[in-house]
Amino acid sequence: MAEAVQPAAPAPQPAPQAPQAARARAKRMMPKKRVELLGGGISGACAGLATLLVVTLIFMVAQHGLATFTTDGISLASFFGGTTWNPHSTDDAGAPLVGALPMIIGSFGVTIMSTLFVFPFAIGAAIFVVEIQPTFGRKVLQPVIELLVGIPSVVFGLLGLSIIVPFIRGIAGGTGYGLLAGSIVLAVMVLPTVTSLSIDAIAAVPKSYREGSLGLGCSRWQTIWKVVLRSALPGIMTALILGMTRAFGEALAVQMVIGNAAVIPTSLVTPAATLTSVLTMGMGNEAMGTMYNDVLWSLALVLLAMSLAFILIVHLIGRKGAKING
Amino acid sequence: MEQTKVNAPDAPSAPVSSHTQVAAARAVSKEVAIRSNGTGVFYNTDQQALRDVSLTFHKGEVAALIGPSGCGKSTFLRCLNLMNLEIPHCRIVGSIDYHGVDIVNEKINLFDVRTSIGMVFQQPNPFRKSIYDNVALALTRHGMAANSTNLDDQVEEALRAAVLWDEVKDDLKKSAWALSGGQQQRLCIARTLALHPDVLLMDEPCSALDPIATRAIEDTARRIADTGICVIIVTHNMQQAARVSDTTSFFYLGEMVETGPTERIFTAPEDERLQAYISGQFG
Amino acid sequence: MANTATPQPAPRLIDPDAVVAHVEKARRQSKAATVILTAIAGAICVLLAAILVYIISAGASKAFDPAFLTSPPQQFKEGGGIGPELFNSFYLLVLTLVISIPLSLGAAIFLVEYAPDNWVTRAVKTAIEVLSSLPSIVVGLFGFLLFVLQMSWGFSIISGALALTMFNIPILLRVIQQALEAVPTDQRDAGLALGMTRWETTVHILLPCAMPAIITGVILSAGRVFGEAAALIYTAGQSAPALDFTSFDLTNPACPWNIWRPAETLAVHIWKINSEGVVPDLTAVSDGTAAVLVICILAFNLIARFAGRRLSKKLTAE
Repeated sequence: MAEAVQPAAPAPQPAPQAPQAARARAKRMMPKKRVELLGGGISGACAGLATLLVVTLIFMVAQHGLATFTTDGISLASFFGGTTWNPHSTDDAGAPLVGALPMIIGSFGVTIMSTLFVFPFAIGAAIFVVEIQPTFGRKVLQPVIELLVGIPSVVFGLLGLSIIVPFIRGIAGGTGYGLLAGSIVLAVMVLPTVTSLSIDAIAAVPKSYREGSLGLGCSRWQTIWKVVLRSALPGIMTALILGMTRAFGEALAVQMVIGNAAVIPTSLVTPAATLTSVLTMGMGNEAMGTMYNDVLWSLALVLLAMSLAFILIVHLIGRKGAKING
Repeated sequence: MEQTKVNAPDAPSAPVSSHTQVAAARAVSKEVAIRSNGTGVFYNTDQQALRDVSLTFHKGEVAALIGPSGCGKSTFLRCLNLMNLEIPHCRIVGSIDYHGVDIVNEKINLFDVRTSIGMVFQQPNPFRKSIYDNVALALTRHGMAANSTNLDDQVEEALRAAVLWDEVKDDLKKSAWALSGGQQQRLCIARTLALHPDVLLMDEPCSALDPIATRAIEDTARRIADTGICVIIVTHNMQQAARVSDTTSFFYLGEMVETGPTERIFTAPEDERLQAYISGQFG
Repeated sequence: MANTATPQPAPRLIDPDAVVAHVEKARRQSKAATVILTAIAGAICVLLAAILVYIISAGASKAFDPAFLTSPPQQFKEGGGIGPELFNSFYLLVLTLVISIPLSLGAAIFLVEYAPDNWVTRAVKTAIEVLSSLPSIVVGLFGFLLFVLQMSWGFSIISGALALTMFNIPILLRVIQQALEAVPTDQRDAGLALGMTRWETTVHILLPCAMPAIITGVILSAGRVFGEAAALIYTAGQSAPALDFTSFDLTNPACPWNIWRPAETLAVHIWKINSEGVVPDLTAVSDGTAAVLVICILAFNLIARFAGRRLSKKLTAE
């Protein structure tokens, strides 16, 4: 291995000894190569640790979640298709009532409904910020959105409990808990996320598209509707999917207003349950290793799988959008 | 620029406009500072940006690399201090001989080489720190200062060598980003000189500067060369090359076409592509 | 209706009245759209204002009562406070930041500077993406499995801090990465050309430049961590032992600094008393707790904005 290069000192400059001495001094410091290796190693270790944690998480949740089917002998059909959730009871055939369908329907129900509620408001606000009033949007609306993001989910649950549930009770009777209350709370919670991502998507549309459309004589709304939104569609869909991811995984806010009745919801204003609400309430009550505990982990596994599915969908949209936009 | 075709190489009328001064011939040392043999550069396995360049640079010489945009002169310059290796999937072929070591193919201390072969970039890029810290940072990182007084002295020495000391000596703590473009570029030169290189690479150092600042940089470059440092300048400005350099090399489409003393290159170019370039038929 | 956007070869084929009517309609639609969009934007602003006003006013009576802020909670009687929970929230926040900032910094530097263009980098990026999409309840349950059960630390501050670290890493990672990538690339080139290693260039040149953005991001993430509850229910637990601030014995469950003790935070407290529902003044207590929580988070937001601007100005004092 060649030694470090020692260039000769430049001739006429004052103190021709200086560079030699300087290099001798430098040799006493940690060699650069080792600095680089150390730095790369430390930062790589940090990245590796984060990766390891995620892998361990998936592994451990899957390990417990799959035990329901492998060790406890529950069939996939009765888990995914069963309509009653009461693990401590058994049906006539003696099989435990571990049908997760009510919660799956509940989770998808609140997710889809909240997305439908949020969609017009988020897109509308995004269009407003980018197209109509950018200065007001930047100075006022964006800080407002940032603040909304910062409000903790329990506080939203509390607001739902104090305001929305009594409101629904007043209009529709009953207890006020249920899918509708959950959807409204979730809609307000995912609004900031979907809005800021939509703002990014719409702002990313090249200016030349707009100028071309306006140059052809289209009105501003025609430009927005036919040109800008169409071009921003992949980005907007990504925003919506990411909002749905957040809604699907929200636990406490939903649990506080959903009513926690693990039955197939018959209406929007009767108590229901979601995967997250049952998980939150049940995990503390069952001993580890029992079937009653394992089925809860299976619910967690379903949650995990859905998160991964959402990520996959976002990737597919991204790839398709890149193909369309060239 | 005249469009007349240059015929015989011994035509007395110079193709370069009569206002251009050609650098007065200087006594240049015969000692080799750095030499490239058949150097080439590949981006991504199949894109060859540079092909078979063999040039020799001497101590105390100002060498200009000229050629139209995209001809590979900057790529070649970045081989000399191995900056091209920072680009992913970039490969250098051939060899570069520096103090008897082939820095491309032999195992070397990359960081040491880069302290001895300095580089100044097209856009002045001082660090977002004070003037003093800009020069002192590399000195401190390389452990080249014995104590803080010694550090102060070295910083002053470097700023003097870059002809910047008088302008900034009253407020060394001022942010470097508050300086003018020309001053920033001289600061970049100063922080490179502080490491006592024997080769200074300058990649179109004046293209972002006004004519007065340009003149100052050119004078600084010649002054630096007078101290024995080999200065290699890439420039797209032919007049600058003619003013400043002792030798000039013409690059075209990734190859080094012709090289020689500046006066001969501009008054009696041999290759017809060089003739066409000098007479402004393309640029 | 004639397609008015396509130029017609014979002008007499266009009905001028139809064209005018069409353009008028488009203009009216555009105006209506502007009105609707402005209303939506206004509604969102009003929504936020209403939420903040409601929370702070509903909880004001308790939130600004020093007795509420310092006394321990009550299980069955009224008059309980949030003293321990307030301390726990801040203590957990500080611990989480102390652990997650260096980790995220290291990982971000790796991704920006060192990551080779191969499957390793793709794996790391995918893992971080998965982590950022995970429901926080799942992160909390993993923390339960790993820290509470496997490592036998039980419901403890350290379990909670590690769970919150996992929750915080993707947030911080993105902030730091964006801040580093926003620094102009020629700064890095200058450092490398001076013979500095990538590590030195990153630490001494890029990080100082990126610092204002990083600090703003860290403070904003602190707000998110402060309000997180789902990840803590099964890691830091739902009980708040009374704290004895004179004790420095780290094994004493009453010692505030003991990281092995369970620690209910403000956010978890809100959830717990509402789901148990046995305390008589639970509405007042939870409203008060919510007000304290929101005021603290607003403070974080303001500090982040203020600090970011001040640091930027100091950096660009040019």
